Amino acid sequence: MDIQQTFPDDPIVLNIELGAGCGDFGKKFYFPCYLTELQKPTCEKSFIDHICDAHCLPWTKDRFITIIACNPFGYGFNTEESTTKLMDEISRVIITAGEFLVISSSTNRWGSIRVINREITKYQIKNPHLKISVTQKINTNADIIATFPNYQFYQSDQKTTATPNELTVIKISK
Amino acid sequence: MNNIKLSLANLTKSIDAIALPAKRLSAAKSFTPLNEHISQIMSFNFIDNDYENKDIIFNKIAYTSLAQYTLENTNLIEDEAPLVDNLNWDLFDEVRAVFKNEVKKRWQKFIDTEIGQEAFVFVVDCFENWLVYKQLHPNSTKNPWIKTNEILQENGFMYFLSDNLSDIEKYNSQIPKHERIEDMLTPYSSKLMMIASNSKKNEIKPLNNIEKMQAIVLQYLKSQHTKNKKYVTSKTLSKVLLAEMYQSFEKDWNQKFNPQRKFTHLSDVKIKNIVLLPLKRLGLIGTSNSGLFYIDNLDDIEEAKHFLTESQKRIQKTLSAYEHKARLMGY
Repeated sequence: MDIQQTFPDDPIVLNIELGAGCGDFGKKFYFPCYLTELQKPTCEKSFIDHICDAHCLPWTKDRFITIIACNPFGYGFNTEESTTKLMDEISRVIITAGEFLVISSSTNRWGSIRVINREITKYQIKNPHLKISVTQKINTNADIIATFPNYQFYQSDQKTTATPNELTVIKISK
Repeated sequence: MNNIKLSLANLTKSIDAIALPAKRLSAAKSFTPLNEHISQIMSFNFIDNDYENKDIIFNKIAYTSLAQYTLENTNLIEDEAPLVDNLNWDLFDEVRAVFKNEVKKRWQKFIDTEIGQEAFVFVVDCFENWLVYKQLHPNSTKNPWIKTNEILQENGFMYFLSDNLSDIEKYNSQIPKHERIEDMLTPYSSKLMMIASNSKKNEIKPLNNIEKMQAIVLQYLKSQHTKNKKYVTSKTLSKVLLAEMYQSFEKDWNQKFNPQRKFTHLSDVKIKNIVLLPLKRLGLIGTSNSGLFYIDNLDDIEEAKHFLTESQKRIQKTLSAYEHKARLMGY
Protein backbone atom coordinates (compact mmCIF):
# COMPACT_ATOMS: atom_id res chain seq x y z
CA MET A 1 0.00 0.00 0.00
CA ASP A 2 1.39 3.37 -0.94
CA ILE A 3 1.61 6.29 1.45
CA GLN A 4 -0.72 9.25 0.87
CA GLN A 5 0.71 12.71 1.20
CA THR A 6 -1.07 14.85 3.73
CA PHE A 7 0.85 18.09 3.28
CA PRO A 8 1.37 20.58 0.44
CA ASP A 9 4.02 19.13 -1.82
CA ASP A 10 5.98 21.12 -4.38
CA PRO A 11 6.24 19.01 -7.58
CA ILE A 12 9.30 20.99 -8.66
CA VAL A 13 11.33 19.51 -5.81
CA LEU A 14 12.71 16.21 -7.10
CA ASN A 15 15.64 15.76 -4.70
CA ILE A 16 15.63 14.81 -1.04
CA GLU A 17 18.27 14.55 1.67
CA LEU A 18 17.74 12.11 4.55
CA GLY A 19 19.00 12.71 8.08
CA ALA A 20 20.15 16.22 7.18
CA GLY A 21 20.48 17.42 10.80
CA CYS A 22 21.34 21.12 10.91
CA GLY A 23 23.15 21.07 7.56
CA ASP A 24 21.94 22.36 4.21
CA PHE A 25 23.99 20.12 1.89
CA GLY A 26 21.04 19.11 -0.31
CA LYS A 27 19.81 22.67 -0.74
CA LYS A 28 23.31 23.91 -1.52
CA PHE A 29 24.40 21.27 -4.07
CA TYR A 30 21.17 19.62 -5.29
CA PHE A 31 18.70 22.52 -5.24
CA PRO A 32 15.71 22.32 -5.13
CA CYS A 33 15.83 19.66 -2.44
CA TYR A 34 13.77 18.67 0.57
CA LEU A 35 15.70 18.13 3.78
CA THR A 36 14.43 15.62 6.33
CA GLU A 37 15.43 14.51 9.81
CA LEU A 38 14.06 11.99 12.30
CA GLN A 39 13.76 14.50 15.14
CA LYS A 40 13.59 18.25 15.26
CA PRO A 41 17.21 19.44 15.36
CA THR A 42 18.21 21.61 18.30
CA CYS A 43 20.38 23.96 16.26
CA GLU A 44 19.68 27.69 16.09
CA LYS A 45 19.13 27.66 12.34
CA SER A 46 17.55 24.60 10.79
CA PHE A 47 16.81 24.00 7.11
CA ILE A 48 14.65 20.91 7.66
CA ASP A 49 11.44 20.75 5.61
CA HIS A 50 9.98 17.56 7.07
CA ILE A 51 10.45 15.62 10.30
CA CYS A 52 10.16 11.99 9.26
CA ASP A 53 11.75 8.56 9.43
CA ALA A 54 13.97 7.67 6.45
CA HIS A 55 12.35 4.22 6.53
CA CYS A 56 8.85 5.65 6.19
CA LEU A 57 8.91 8.72 3.97
CA PRO A 58 5.61 10.61 3.70
CA TRP A 59 5.62 10.80 -0.10
CA THR A 60 3.95 8.71 -2.78
CA LYS A 61 5.95 6.23 -4.85
CA ASP A 62 8.18 7.28 -7.79
CA ARG A 63 8.62 10.76 -6.37
CA PHE A 64 12.35 11.63 -6.37
CA ILE A 65 15.20 11.65 -8.89
CA THR A 66 18.01 12.02 -6.34
CA ILE A 67 18.09 10.83 -2.75
CA ILE A 68 21.03 11.81 -0.54
CA ALA A 69 22.41 10.51 2.74
CA CYS A 70 25.43 12.29 4.26
CA ASN A 71 27.39 10.34 6.89
CA PRO A 72 24.63 7.88 7.79
CA PHE A 73 25.15 6.40 11.24
CA GLY A 74 22.52 4.35 13.01
CA TYR A 75 20.73 3.64 9.73
CA GLY A 76 21.94 2.31 6.40
CA PHE A 77 23.97 -0.70 5.33
CA ASN A 78 25.30 -2.13 8.60
CA THR A 79 23.28 -5.35 8.42
CA GLU A 80 21.08 -7.19 5.95
CA GLU A 81 18.08 -6.16 8.02
CA SER A 82 18.97 -2.45 8.15
CA THR A 83 19.75 -2.48 4.40
CA THR A 84 16.41 -4.06 3.53
CA LYS A 85 14.58 -1.58 5.73
CA LEU A 86 16.21 1.41 4.03
CA MET A 87 16.40 0.12 0.45
CA ASP A 88 12.74 -0.95 0.42
CA GLU A 89 11.77 2.63 1.12
CA ILE A 90 14.34 4.18 -1.23
CA SER A 91 13.17 1.87 -4.04
CA ARG A 92 9.59 2.92 -3.42
CA VAL A 93 10.07 6.71 -3.58
CA ILE A 94 12.79 6.86 -6.24
CA ILE A 95 11.86 7.15 -9.91
CA THR A 96 13.27 4.54 -12.27
CA ALA A 97 16.96 5.20 -13.04
CA GLY A 98 17.06 7.55 -10.06
CA GLU A 99 20.20 7.82 -7.92
CA PHE A 100 20.78 7.32 -4.23
CA LEU A 101 23.96 9.17 -3.21
CA VAL A 102 25.77 8.14 -0.05
CA ILE A 103 28.55 10.35 1.28
CA SER A 104 30.51 8.53 3.94
CA SER A 105 33.82 7.61 5.50
CA SER A 106 35.47 4.32 4.53
CA THR A 107 35.45 3.28 8.20
CA ASN A 108 31.69 3.83 8.53
CA ARG A 109 29.97 0.46 8.83
CA TRP A 110 26.65 2.12 7.91
CA GLY A 111 27.74 3.69 4.62
CA SER A 112 31.18 2.82 3.27
CA ILE A 113 31.35 1.61 -0.35
CA ARG A 114 32.54 -1.85 0.62
CA VAL A 115 29.65 -2.38 3.02
CA ILE A 116 27.22 -1.01 0.44
CA ASN A 117 28.55 -3.30 -2.29
CA ARG A 118 28.25 -6.35 -0.09
CA GLU A 119 24.78 -5.57 1.21
CA ILE A 120 23.39 -4.43 -2.15
CA THR A 121 24.52 -7.73 -3.72
CA LYS A 122 22.42 -9.59 -1.15
CA TYR A 123 19.52 -7.15 -1.53
CA GLN A 124 19.59 -7.51 -5.34
CA ILE A 125 19.27 -11.31 -5.07
CA LYS A 126 16.19 -10.92 -2.90
CA ASN A 127 14.74 -8.26 -5.22
CA PRO A 128 15.27 -9.46 -8.81
CA HIS A 129 12.59 -7.04 -10.11
CA LEU A 130 15.02 -4.18 -9.41
CA LYS A 131 18.18 -3.44 -11.34
CA ILE A 132 20.69 -1.90 -8.96
CA SER A 133 24.21 -0.73 -9.75
CA VAL A 134 26.77 0.64 -7.28
CA THR A 135 29.54 3.00 -8.39
CA GLN A 136 32.16 4.77 -6.35
CA LYS A 137 32.48 8.33 -7.66
CA ILE A 138 34.91 9.71 -5.05
CA ASN A 139 37.37 7.95 -2.77
CA THR A 140 39.40 10.68 -1.07
CA ASN A 141 38.54 13.47 1.36
CA ALA A 142 40.40 15.94 -0.87
CA ASP A 143 38.09 15.11 -3.77
CA ILE A 144 35.03 15.46 -1.54
CA ILE A 145 36.25 18.94 -0.55
CA ALA A 146 36.97 19.83 -4.19
CA THR A 147 33.57 18.56 -5.38
CA PHE A 148 31.60 20.22 -2.60
CA PRO A 149 33.65 23.38 -1.89
CA ASN A 150 33.15 25.54 1.19
CA TYR A 151 30.99 22.97 2.87
CA GLN A 152 31.73 21.65 6.34
CA PHE A 153 30.28 18.21 7.03
CA TYR A 154 29.28 17.46 10.61
CA GLN A 155 28.37 14.38 12.62
CA SER A 156 24.81 13.93 13.81
CA ASP A 157 25.24 16.43 16.70
CA GLN A 158 26.12 19.10 14.11
CA LYS A 159 29.03 20.26 16.28
CA THR A 160 31.57 17.53 15.77
CA THR A 161 33.21 17.69 12.37
CA ALA A 162 33.09 14.83 9.87
CA THR A 163 35.66 13.94 7.22
CA PRO A 164 33.90 11.83 4.59
CA ASN A 165 36.10 10.39 1.85
CA GLU A 166 33.64 8.46 -0.30
CA LEU A 167 30.78 9.28 -2.59
CA THR A 168 28.88 6.19 -3.67
CA VAL A 169 26.11 6.28 -6.24
CA ILE A 170 23.44 3.59 -6.12
CA LYS A 171 21.38 3.63 -9.31
CA ILE A 172 18.01 1.92 -9.16
CA SER A 173 15.89 0.89 -12.14
CA LYS A 174 12.47 -0.62 -11.61
CA MET B 1 53.43 -3.10 14.91
CA ASN B 2 50.01 -3.29 13.31
CA ASN B 3 50.78 -6.49 11.44
CA ILE B 4 48.54 -8.98 13.20
CA LYS B 5 46.29 -10.98 10.87
CA LEU B 6 42.85 -11.06 12.38
CA SER B 7 40.83 -14.20 11.90
CA LEU B 8 37.53 -15.56 13.08
CA ALA B 9 39.42 -17.95 15.36
CA ASN B 10 41.45 -15.34 17.23
CA LEU B 11 38.56 -12.90 17.43
CA THR B 12 36.26 -15.62 18.75
CA LYS B 13 38.71 -16.09 21.62
CA SER B 14 38.11 -12.45 22.60
CA ILE B 15 34.36 -13.01 22.36
CA ASP B 16 34.49 -15.97 24.71
CA ALA B 17 36.18 -13.74 27.23
CA ILE B 18 33.67 -10.91 26.72
CA ALA B 19 30.53 -13.03 26.79
CA LEU B 20 31.50 -15.14 29.76
CA PRO B 21 31.63 -12.92 32.81
CA ALA B 22 34.57 -13.84 35.02
CA LYS B 23 32.90 -12.51 38.12
CA ARG B 24 29.81 -10.54 39.00
CA LEU B 25 30.55 -7.26 40.65
CA SER B 26 28.15 -4.55 41.72
CA ALA B 27 26.55 -2.46 38.98
CA ALA B 28 28.20 0.60 40.50
CA LYS B 29 31.53 -0.80 39.34
CA SER B 30 30.21 -0.87 35.75
CA PHE B 31 30.15 2.91 35.75
CA THR B 32 33.91 3.24 36.10
CA PRO B 33 34.84 1.54 32.78
CA LEU B 34 31.99 3.37 31.07
CA ASN B 35 33.24 6.74 32.31
CA GLU B 36 36.71 5.81 31.12
CA HIS B 37 35.29 4.82 27.73
CA ILE B 38 33.50 8.15 27.39
CA SER B 39 36.55 10.04 28.55
CA GLN B 40 38.57 8.26 25.86
CA ILE B 41 36.25 9.03 22.97
CA MET B 42 36.09 12.63 24.13
CA SER B 43 39.86 12.83 23.93
CA PHE B 44 39.61 12.58 20.15
CA ASN B 45 37.18 15.44 20.09
CA PHE B 46 39.31 17.76 22.21
CA ILE B 47 42.32 17.36 19.96
CA ASP B 48 40.67 18.49 16.80
CA ASN B 49 37.48 20.37 17.51
CA ASP B 50 36.87 23.87 18.75
CA TYR B 51 35.64 23.42 22.32
CA GLU B 52 35.54 27.13 23.14
CA ASN B 53 32.60 28.17 21.04
CA LYS B 54 30.51 25.14 21.69
CA ASP B 55 27.37 24.82 23.69
CA ILE B 56 28.15 21.42 25.16
CA ILE B 57 25.15 19.30 26.06
CA PHE B 58 26.15 15.72 26.59
CA ASN B 59 23.24 13.58 25.43
CA LYS B 60 22.73 10.48 23.26
CA ILE B 61 23.28 12.31 19.96
CA ALA B 62 26.48 13.86 21.30
CA TYR B 63 27.68 10.43 22.40
CA THR B 64 26.89 8.83 19.01
CA SER B 65 28.65 11.67 17.20
CA LEU B 66 31.74 11.25 19.34
CA ALA B 67 31.77 7.52 18.57
CA GLN B 68 31.43 8.23 14.85
CA TYR B 69 34.17 10.87 15.00
CA THR B 70 36.48 8.50 16.87
CA LEU B 71 36.24 5.83 14.16
CA GLU B 72 36.96 8.41 11.47
CA ASN B 73 39.97 9.90 13.26
CA THR B 74 41.93 7.13 14.98
CA ASN B 75 45.08 8.74 13.59
CA LEU B 76 44.70 11.51 16.18
CA ILE B 77 45.83 9.29 19.03
CA GLU B 78 47.34 6.22 17.39
CA ASP B 79 51.00 6.29 16.37
CA GLU B 80 50.39 4.19 13.28
CA ALA B 81 48.07 4.87 10.36
CA PRO B 82 44.75 2.99 10.43
CA LEU B 83 44.72 -0.17 8.29
CA VAL B 84 41.65 0.83 6.32
CA ASP B 85 42.36 -1.87 3.75
CA ASN B 86 42.34 -4.35 6.62
CA LEU B 87 38.61 -3.74 7.16
CA ASN B 88 37.12 -7.07 6.26
CA TRP B 89 33.35 -6.70 6.37
CA ASP B 90 32.72 -10.41 5.77
CA LEU B 91 34.84 -11.24 8.81
CA PHE B 92 33.06 -8.42 10.63
CA ASP B 93 29.71 -10.10 9.89
CA GLU B 94 30.89 -13.52 11.03
CA VAL B 95 32.40 -12.24 14.26
CA ARG B 96 29.32 -10.16 15.04
CA ALA B 97 27.11 -13.21 14.54
CA VAL B 98 29.27 -15.25 16.95
CA PHE B 99 29.16 -12.44 19.51
CA LYS B 100 25.38 -12.04 19.26
CA ASN B 101 24.87 -15.77 19.67
CA GLU B 102 27.13 -15.94 22.71
CA VAL B 103 25.39 -13.01 24.39
CA LYS B 104 21.97 -14.44 23.53
CA LYS B 105 22.90 -17.81 24.98
CA ARG B 106 23.75 -16.17 28.25
CA TRP B 107 21.08 -13.48 28.38
CA GLN B 108 18.17 -14.76 26.25
CA LYS B 109 15.50 -14.39 28.96
CA PHE B 110 16.63 -10.87 29.72
CA ILE B 111 16.89 -9.90 26.04
CA ASP B 112 13.23 -10.85 25.61
CA THR B 113 12.27 -8.02 27.98
CA GLU B 114 11.92 -4.39 26.89
CA ILE B 115 14.90 -3.17 28.87
CA GLY B 116 16.90 -6.25 27.80
CA GLN B 117 16.25 -5.57 24.12
CA GLU B 118 17.50 -2.02 24.47
CA ALA B 119 20.60 -3.20 26.32
CA PHE B 120 21.25 -5.89 23.69
CA VAL B 121 21.13 -3.38 20.82
CA PHE B 122 23.54 -1.06 22.65
CA VAL B 123 25.96 -3.80 23.69
CA VAL B 124 26.10 -5.12 20.09
CA ASP B 125 26.64 -1.58 18.82
CA CYS B 126 29.57 -1.08 21.20
CA PHE B 127 30.99 -4.44 20.15
CA GLU B 128 30.73 -3.47 16.47
CA ASN B 129 32.63 -0.25 17.16
CA TRP B 130 35.28 -2.24 19.03
CA LEU B 131 35.55 -4.59 16.06
CA VAL B 132 35.96 -1.82 13.48
CA TYR B 133 38.65 -0.17 15.64
CA LYS B 134 40.30 -3.55 16.24
CA GLN B 135 40.60 -4.13 12.48
CA LEU B 136 42.01 -0.64 11.97
CA HIS B 137 44.52 -1.00 14.83
CA PRO B 138 44.81 -4.69 15.76
CA ASN B 139 47.33 -4.25 18.58
CA SER B 140 46.05 -1.00 20.03
CA THR B 141 45.49 -0.60 23.75
CA LYS B 142 43.79 2.74 23.07
CA ASN B 143 40.64 1.26 21.53
CA PRO B 144 37.95 3.07 23.60
CA TRP B 145 35.56 0.11 23.35
CA ILE B 146 37.90 -2.21 25.27
CA LYS B 147 36.34 -0.58 28.31
CA THR B 148 32.74 -1.25 27.27
CA ASN B 149 33.62 -4.91 26.67
CA GLU B 150 34.93 -4.98 30.25
CA ILE B 151 31.48 -4.15 31.62
CA LEU B 152 30.07 -7.33 30.15
CA GLN B 153 33.17 -9.40 30.75
CA GLU B 154 34.37 -8.36 34.18
CA ASN B 155 31.20 -7.05 35.72
CA GLY B 156 28.66 -9.39 34.14
CA PHE B 157 26.26 -6.53 33.38
CA MET B 158 24.31 -5.62 30.28
CA TYR B 159 24.06 -1.88 29.82
CA PHE B 160 22.86 0.97 27.66
CA LEU B 161 22.85 4.75 27.56
CA SER B 162 19.72 6.81 27.31
CA ASP B 163 18.59 10.40 27.57
CA ASN B 164 14.95 9.49 27.15
CA LEU B 165 13.68 10.46 30.60
CA SER B 166 10.30 8.77 30.30
CA ASP B 167 12.04 5.46 29.54
CA ILE B 168 14.47 5.98 32.33
CA GLU B 169 11.62 6.71 34.76
CA LYS B 170 10.01 3.44 33.69
CA TYR B 171 13.14 1.48 34.51
CA ASN B 172 13.75 3.58 37.56
CA SER B 173 10.48 2.40 39.09
CA GLN B 174 12.18 -0.94 39.46
CA ILE B 175 14.68 0.40 41.95
CA PRO B 176 14.09 1.61 45.53
CA LYS B 177 12.42 4.96 46.10
CA HIS B 178 15.40 6.49 47.84
CA GLU B 179 17.26 6.21 44.56
CA ARG B 180 14.93 8.35 42.41
CA ILE B 181 16.66 10.00 39.48
CA GLU B 182 16.13 13.54 40.77
CA ASP B 183 17.92 12.54 43.97
CA MET B 184 20.82 11.14 41.98
CA LEU B 185 21.47 14.33 40.04
CA THR B 186 24.39 16.51 41.01
CA PRO B 187 25.56 19.75 39.40
CA TYR B 188 28.05 17.60 37.48
CA SER B 189 25.36 15.39 35.90
CA SER B 190 24.89 15.19 32.15
CA LYS B 191 21.62 14.40 30.37
CA LEU B 192 22.84 10.90 29.69
CA MET B 193 22.05 8.02 32.03
CA MET B 194 23.64 4.61 32.14
CA ILE B 195 21.29 1.76 32.84
CA ALA B 196 23.09 -1.42 33.89
CA SER B 197 21.36 -4.69 34.61
CA ASN B 198 22.33 -8.17 35.65
CA SER B 199 18.77 -9.18 34.64
CA LYS B 200 17.66 -9.33 38.28
CA LYS B 201 18.44 -5.80 39.28
CA ASN B 202 18.66 -2.56 37.30
CA GLU B 203 20.88 0.27 38.35
CA ILE B 204 20.65 3.74 36.88
CA LYS B 205 23.15 6.51 37.16
CA PRO B 206 23.45 9.90 35.50
CA LEU B 207 26.84 10.18 33.89
CA ASN B 208 29.04 13.09 34.81
CA ASN B 209 29.29 15.76 32.14
CA ILE B 210 32.98 15.11 31.60
CA GLU B 211 33.07 16.90 28.25
CA LYS B 212 31.68 20.08 29.79
CA MET B 213 34.04 19.85 32.76
CA GLN B 214 37.04 19.39 30.51
CA ALA B 215 35.98 22.35 28.38
CA ILE B 216 35.62 24.50 31.54
CA VAL B 217 39.07 23.47 32.77
CA LEU B 218 40.68 24.24 29.41
CA GLN B 219 38.96 27.58 29.09
CA TYR B 220 39.80 28.61 32.65
CA LEU B 221 43.44 27.56 32.47
CA LYS B 222 43.78 29.31 29.13
CA SER B 223 42.28 32.52 30.56
CA GLN B 224 44.77 32.41 33.45
CA HIS B 225 47.76 31.94 31.17
CA THR B 226 49.18 35.43 30.89
CA LYS B 227 52.69 36.85 30.58
CA ASN B 228 53.20 36.97 34.35
CA LYS B 229 51.18 34.07 35.71
CA LYS B 230 49.68 30.82 34.62
CA TYR B 231 49.36 28.47 37.61
CA VAL B 232 46.05 27.39 39.12
CA THR B 233 45.80 25.21 42.21
CA SER B 234 43.56 22.15 42.12
CA LYS B 235 41.54 23.65 44.99
CA THR B 236 40.76 26.79 42.96
CA LEU B 237 39.97 24.65 39.94
CA SER B 238 37.48 22.52 41.90
CA LYS B 239 35.68 25.69 43.04
CA VAL B 240 35.56 27.12 39.51
CA LEU B 241 34.28 23.80 38.17
CA LEU B 242 31.47 23.57 40.69
CA ALA B 243 30.35 27.16 40.13
CA GLU B 244 30.32 26.69 36.36
CA MET B 245 28.57 23.33 36.60
CA TYR B 246 25.71 24.90 38.61
CA GLN B 247 25.10 27.15 35.59
CA SER B 248 25.47 24.28 33.17
CA PHE B 249 22.95 22.23 35.14
CA GLU B 250 20.41 25.05 34.94
CA LYS B 251 20.77 25.19 31.18
CA ASP B 252 20.66 21.42 30.62
CA TRP B 253 17.80 20.64 32.97
CA ASN B 254 15.90 23.90 32.70
CA GLN B 255 15.85 24.27 36.47
CA LYS B 256 18.21 25.56 39.12
CA PHE B 257 20.11 23.09 41.21
CA ASN B 258 19.35 23.85 44.84
CA PRO B 259 22.73 24.68 46.35
CA GLN B 260 21.35 23.66 49.77
CA ARG B 261 20.73 20.12 48.53
CA LYS B 262 23.19 17.53 49.70
CA PHE B 263 25.14 15.70 47.05
CA THR B 264 28.45 13.97 46.80
CA HIS B 265 31.08 16.40 45.59
CA LEU B 266 33.60 15.13 43.13
CA SER B 267 36.76 14.46 45.09
CA ASP B 268 40.06 15.96 43.93
CA VAL B 269 41.20 12.45 43.04
CA LYS B 270 38.13 11.87 40.86
CA ILE B 271 38.53 15.24 39.13
CA LYS B 272 42.16 14.37 38.57
CA ASN B 273 41.31 10.98 37.06
CA ILE B 274 38.30 11.73 34.88
CA VAL B 275 38.83 15.39 33.98
CA LEU B 276 42.52 16.31 34.23
CA LEU B 277 44.40 13.14 33.39
CA PRO B 278 42.85 12.72 29.90
CA LEU B 279 43.69 16.38 29.14
CA LYS B 280 47.28 15.82 30.26
CA ARG B 281 47.53 12.73 28.09
CA LEU B 282 46.50 14.85 25.13
CA GLY B 283 49.27 17.33 25.93
CA LEU B 284 46.76 20.11 26.52
CA ILE B 285 47.58 20.90 30.16
CA GLY B 286 50.58 20.46 32.43
CA THR B 287 51.39 20.27 36.14
CA SER B 288 54.21 21.69 38.24
CA ASN B 289 54.79 22.24 41.96
CA SER B 290 53.03 25.60 41.59
CA GLY B 291 49.85 24.15 40.10
CA LEU B 292 48.16 23.30 36.85
CA PHE B 293 48.61 25.30 33.67
CA TYR B 294 47.51 25.51 30.05
CA ILE B 295 50.15 24.39 27.56
CA ASP B 296 50.64 27.31 25.25
CA ASN B 297 54.29 27.19 24.20
CA LEU B 298 57.48 25.17 24.25
CA ASP B 299 58.48 26.49 27.72
CA ASP B 300 55.21 25.12 29.11
CA ILE B 301 55.94 21.73 27.58
CA GLU B 302 59.47 21.72 29.02
CA GLU B 303 58.12 22.63 32.47
CA ALA B 304 55.50 19.87 32.36
CA LYS B 305 58.09 17.36 31.18
CA HIS B 306 60.58 18.43 33.89
CA PHE B 307 57.96 17.97 36.63
CA LEU B 308 57.09 14.48 35.39
CA THR B 309 60.76 13.49 35.10
CA GLU B 310 61.41 14.62 38.68
CA SER B 311 58.32 12.70 39.89
CA GLN B 312 59.61 9.63 38.11
CA LYS B 313 62.96 9.97 39.88
CA ARG B 314 61.21 10.24 43.28
CA ILE B 315 59.13 7.13 42.51
CA GLN B 316 62.26 5.28 41.43
CA LYS B 317 63.97 6.18 44.74
CA THR B 318 61.06 4.77 46.72
CA LEU B 319 61.00 1.64 44.57
CA SER B 320 64.73 1.15 45.15
CA ALA B 321 64.20 1.57 48.92
CA TYR B 322 61.55 -1.17 48.89
CA GLU B 323 63.79 -3.47 46.86
CA HIS B 324 66.64 -2.85 49.32
CA LYS B 325 64.34 -3.57 52.28
CA ALA B 326 63.19 -6.81 50.60
CA ARG B 327 66.79 -7.92 50.19
CA LEU B 328 67.46 -7.16 53.88
CA MET B 329 64.46 -9.32 54.74
CA GLY B 330 66.03 -12.17 52.84
CA TYR B 331 63.83 -12.18 49.73
